[in-house]
Amino acid sequence: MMTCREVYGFLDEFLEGRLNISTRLAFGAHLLLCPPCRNYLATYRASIEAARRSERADARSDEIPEELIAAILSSRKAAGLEPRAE
Amino acid sequence: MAVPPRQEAELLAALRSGQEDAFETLVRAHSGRMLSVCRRILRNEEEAKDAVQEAFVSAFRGIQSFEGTAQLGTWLHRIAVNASLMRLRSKKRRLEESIDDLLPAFREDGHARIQPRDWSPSAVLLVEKRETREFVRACIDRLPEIYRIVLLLRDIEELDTAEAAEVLGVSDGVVKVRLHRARHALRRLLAERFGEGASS
Repeated sequence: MMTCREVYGFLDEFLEGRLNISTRLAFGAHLLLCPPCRNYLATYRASIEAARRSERADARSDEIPEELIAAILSSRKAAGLEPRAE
Repeated sequence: MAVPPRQEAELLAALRSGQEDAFETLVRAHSGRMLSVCRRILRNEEEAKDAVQEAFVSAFRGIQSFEGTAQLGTWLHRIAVNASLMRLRSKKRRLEESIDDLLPAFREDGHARIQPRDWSPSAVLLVEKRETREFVRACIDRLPEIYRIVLLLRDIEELDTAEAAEVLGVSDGVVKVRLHRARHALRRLLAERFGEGASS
């Protein structure tokens, strides 16, 4: 029987579908008999999702200051990356 | 704003031939996403803007050697990540709490010391609120830097293990271990708000 410690150790492989068949069976059997580990898995997954949504939800991707665009384009000139006139 | 594939090929050709308006098109199409990436890594508006600028200069220099196997946006995203990490490395480290105290603890028989309850439904609902999202980001910021960065690269920026290992200059194994610890630690920090069971 897999222990809670082992279940916790396999969470990433489980979420990414990388457990081999025998480990997956032992992992599943433990979860069936251990509600706290089921809860841990649910909250572990929810934490990843909460991080993803929190970091992305407030991204102001459409608010690009014009002065930044101008600075980027002029930095190309400053770095001498423009084609030289013949 | 993504550039459609056919237009992207035309844009790439125009960039390689040095057409001035192509550079502006590239900057307008991709600077938003790049700024978001730099903000997430650097957590400082001015530093993020500087990193975007540096990233574009690197991209302008490298446009002739860009192989076109990836999309321009993906290529620029990696350059923005690299520029941000370079800036981060040059900054003084802040005082950090040990991650060990945030990792799960077990009894000698391998059972978890804390019996968690399932707070995932309330987390899903609460993250709709701006205040909760700010709390989650603050929790991410409490992670020691090496763990925060791996979490951002893998779970937010969606680099795979090998890509994250390459930009960080560490092995795949190190990335896996850091990600594993970062996720456990973040879960623990979020549990303080969303609720956790008592020690057994």
